[in-house]
Amino acid sequence: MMEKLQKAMEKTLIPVANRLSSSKVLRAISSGFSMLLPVIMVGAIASLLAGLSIAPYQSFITAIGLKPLIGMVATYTTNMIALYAVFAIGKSMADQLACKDQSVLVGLVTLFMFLLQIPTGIGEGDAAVASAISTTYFGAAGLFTAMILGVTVPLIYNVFITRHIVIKMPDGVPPQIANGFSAILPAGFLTILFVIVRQLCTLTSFGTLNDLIYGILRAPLSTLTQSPWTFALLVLLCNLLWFFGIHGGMVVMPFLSMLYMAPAIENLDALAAGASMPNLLTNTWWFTFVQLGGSGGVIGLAICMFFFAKSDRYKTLGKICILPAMCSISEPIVFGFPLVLNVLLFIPMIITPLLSFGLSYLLTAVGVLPYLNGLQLSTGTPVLLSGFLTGGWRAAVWQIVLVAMQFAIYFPFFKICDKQAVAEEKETA
Amino acid sequence: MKNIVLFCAAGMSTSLLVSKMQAAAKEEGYECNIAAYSLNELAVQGPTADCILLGPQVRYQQDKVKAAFPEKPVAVIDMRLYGMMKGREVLDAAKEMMN
Repeated sequence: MMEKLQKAMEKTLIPVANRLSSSKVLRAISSGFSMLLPVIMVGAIASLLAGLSIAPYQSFITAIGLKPLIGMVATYTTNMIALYAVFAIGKSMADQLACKDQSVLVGLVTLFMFLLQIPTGIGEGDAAVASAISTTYFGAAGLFTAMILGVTVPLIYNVFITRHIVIKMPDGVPPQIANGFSAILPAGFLTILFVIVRQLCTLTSFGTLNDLIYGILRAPLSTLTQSPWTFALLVLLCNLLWFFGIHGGMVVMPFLSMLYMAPAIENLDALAAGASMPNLLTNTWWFTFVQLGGSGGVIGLAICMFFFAKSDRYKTLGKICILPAMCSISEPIVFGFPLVLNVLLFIPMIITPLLSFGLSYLLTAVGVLPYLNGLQLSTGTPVLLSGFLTGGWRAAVWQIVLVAMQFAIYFPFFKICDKQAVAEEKETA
Repeated sequence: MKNIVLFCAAGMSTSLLVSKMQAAAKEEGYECNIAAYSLNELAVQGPTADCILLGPQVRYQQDKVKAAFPEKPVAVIDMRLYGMMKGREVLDAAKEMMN
């Protein structure tokens, strides 16, 4: 029966996974975001250092004049993340199209179109400053426009390249220069198009493209992202795919960044500004509370094996997998135990991350656990450290509780497998 | 010198396997390059490979990789060998493929 199920899944799930992971739009967005990592990380650390709520530390950095300097770093990174994102996404999108030789140029043109949508001049009447630009939409609020432009601008640009509507330079002109010239027509067309877009937006009650997109999308989007069901669905999908041996993270991650990156950045901004954080759910949750130990939430299972295995097989695996699991790398267990297509382990593998999520959500909602600060940790950050960095000591302690819970859920299932393995080893010995 | 290249999603868990394979290769005095990369780097790292191995978690990408490098041996690493980090066995399989 399992084989039939596997066959059916390979027929349905694999093509879907394939299509999602090769979708140009999703790939552009996720690789664009991963390109931003250095900027986001530095900004996040600065936010953390500026917002650390230890009174003596705060008065110290204020006294020596360091606080505004740290805050400045956050201002120019996380507070302007959309500026970086629009270039990175535009370039990543172009990398996958026929215009990939000019992807940096396309990225720059995308940035230009984004800036075109932001009016100059702030304030009104006597307080008006004509030479200023409002940075509101340079930050998390502009991320959605950045994603939309980052995908559409390269697509339009690409039409010019595939149809050869470009200024041709005679042979012998260095390609660097020829590329610059061939960008003039598409860039010129895009400029006209986006000036029109800008003017059309001023006719609406929103005024600018950013206000329009943000105004229309904000309410439904924040309802969508802040609903625990959306997050739970992503968690379920990821682990379900892993059960069939497909890298669920690769499929789910683009959606996670698309929906939950902006809320995380908003939290970081608030942290740096010393305000209270607005968003309960962020992509930080993924590694800190939900997929603790990687897919399946397997630190508990690693501990089962490391300390309680009777069979040689699980003793060996326990030694191999315990440290990677602590760093949220679960492949040794997923394939070595294996969890893949292991009907017996299906229930704990699916239930553990969902239960971890549900309980963490409830405890955060009632205020026992703090809001996570939105720090973008790289995969591989060890448990406890990830909790401490994103939610302070309470989150770290809660991670210990979660690991204990993982252990309790997996233990009975592990015992059955271990007994079987012991019996098998006796037979073959 | 043979160049064995492994690909997975991020290249993280696979780098663990690579270190085991390198140890096995050193032990038996087999000179080769073994490295793990993210599938995003396929276009960059694929051309110099003598043998391409995919982590089982990205096996659904096998057809695409084969299509990109039709002249190279491409295979998905056996799930159990991968999970148990059996460097020697995976190295043997790679050597087999290059014969």
